[in-house]
Amino acid sequence: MAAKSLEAQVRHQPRVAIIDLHGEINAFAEDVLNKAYAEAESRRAEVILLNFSDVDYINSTGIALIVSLLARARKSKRRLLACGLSDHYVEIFQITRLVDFMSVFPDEKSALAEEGRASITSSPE
Amino acid sequence: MFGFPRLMALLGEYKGNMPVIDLLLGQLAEFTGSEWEQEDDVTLVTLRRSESSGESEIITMSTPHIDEKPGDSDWRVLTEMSIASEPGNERQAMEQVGQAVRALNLPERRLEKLKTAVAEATMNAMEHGNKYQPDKPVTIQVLVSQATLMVRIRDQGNGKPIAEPHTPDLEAKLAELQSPRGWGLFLIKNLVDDVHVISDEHHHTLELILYLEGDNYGSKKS
Repeated sequence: MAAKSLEAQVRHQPRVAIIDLHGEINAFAEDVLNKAYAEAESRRAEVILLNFSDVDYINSTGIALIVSLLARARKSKRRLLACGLSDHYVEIFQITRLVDFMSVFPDEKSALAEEGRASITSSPE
Repeated sequence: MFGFPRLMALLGEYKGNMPVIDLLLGQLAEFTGSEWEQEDDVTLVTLRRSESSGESEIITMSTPHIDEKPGDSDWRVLTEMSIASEPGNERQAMEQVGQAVRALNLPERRLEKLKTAVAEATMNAMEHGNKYQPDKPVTIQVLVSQATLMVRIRDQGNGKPIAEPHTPDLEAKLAELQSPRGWGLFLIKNLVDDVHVISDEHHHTLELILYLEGDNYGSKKS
């Protein structure tokens, strides 16, 4: 079985950039993931949402790439969120404790809704 | 019957590009097919003559080669395979193991965990053991007894023992004080019920254990 390469598209919304990921997150994914993240940062998004709904394989090297993105986000005071993970990969995110540092949502809609609520709560009056 | 004539022909054609035991076990698995029920142990012994000192080295491998537990005296080989050490081939290993254990009807989440553990162990074997040399394959055996499923993954790395799995320090990784990598063994340990790590001067072997019944069944919750 040949490894599927990763493709990524970035969608910009006010305050939020969404990275749609398609394929496998493994050692081959590094360049694509980093370029997509740089594109997401480029319009000063406060929140970056990784959409995993079309990702069917993440290995330990892929986990390391996500840890690197999370480190980058924390350094620049951005929030990194995840959505669309299968139950299995939600469990992997729990085992690795990634869930302690990035909120994980079932889908994009619930992630954006929660983010909208959070931004209203944190807005100055 | 596999037979001595076939064995002698295989040894006559042997080019030395992989360990002879791995070659023979692979050929045996191909001959029997995955449905074969093994009735007795298979023991292979190779003798290697050293050119430098005149000493002989004996390498033995038996299958099954397991510390037997109650109910584990009837190991059956479900499949054996040989995976070329090339990046990405761990996917092939996990899918083939998934196919081999399908008849056991493992709960879906437990099966997914096993497949991920197999992928991680195969990746470690290809990368750290065999240094991604395609002519050094990773061999995988899937064995089952009444109480236990075992996936045995073996590389051709020599010398350095596999480190004990430790819990990665995520805070240090996020602070960029440590490499973001180093999750493989930790994941494996958390995805299956038990892991045996066996190192000798020629191989590293990881035995991934899932208990199918008894007190230890699903100790890593399915």
